[in-house]
Amino acid sequence: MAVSEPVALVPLEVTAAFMEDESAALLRCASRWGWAIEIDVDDLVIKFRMSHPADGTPLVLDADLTSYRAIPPAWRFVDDSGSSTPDSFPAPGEKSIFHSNLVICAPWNRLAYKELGGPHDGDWVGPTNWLNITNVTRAVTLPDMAAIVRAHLHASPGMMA
Amino acid sequence: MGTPTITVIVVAPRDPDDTRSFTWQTTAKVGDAAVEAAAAFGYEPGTPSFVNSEGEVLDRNKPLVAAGVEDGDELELVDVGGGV
Repeated sequence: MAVSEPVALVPLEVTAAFMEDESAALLRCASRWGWAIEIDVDDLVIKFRMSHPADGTPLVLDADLTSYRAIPPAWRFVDDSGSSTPDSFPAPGEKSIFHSNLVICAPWNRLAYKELGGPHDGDWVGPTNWLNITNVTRAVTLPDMAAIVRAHLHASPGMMA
Repeated sequence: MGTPTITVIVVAPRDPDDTRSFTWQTTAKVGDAAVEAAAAFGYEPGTPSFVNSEGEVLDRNKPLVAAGVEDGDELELVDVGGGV
């Protein structure tokens, strides 16, 4: 099934309930890590702000949770205008999920799937199969996803550009 | 006299308030310890490791003591399955 209209997969109030359920852990994690966080349940968006550990560059990591958990969130590093650019995206370290095409390449990021413009065509079946992928980076909750991004950020040598 | 042990506090991002104490031999591999801790927190199969207080991911193949883990440290679980 192609997922070109993810908004149709899960009612907004269901996704909002999932967000609220995970919000306390997200807030605690952000506090532990020294990240700022905004959780917008009405728009189904989470936004983190942090500094790159290697060079202090300010970073914005956002997640569009439309249709979560039928499909994974859309995680992106973005600039002030909301665009993913080389200036807003961390360079990959060893075995990184930070892809050279400016995508966080993980089964828990729906932007990694070809249906939504990513590089993965068929090997993960599709974004509705995300909870069943176990042979690569794995996370099934929002705080665990953010924790993995943090780990890869720590291994990143700097920014893409 | 047996192998020395080390006691650490483990935090799981999905439930950071539910910290748990674990005691392992200092020679235990980071990966083996992380698998045990992850299972205790209810994580499904994956490739768990720990992040230390500096934000560094510990090498799963190293013994805890060689990875710099000390008694009383607080470690955070993280999945380190490969990027793609």
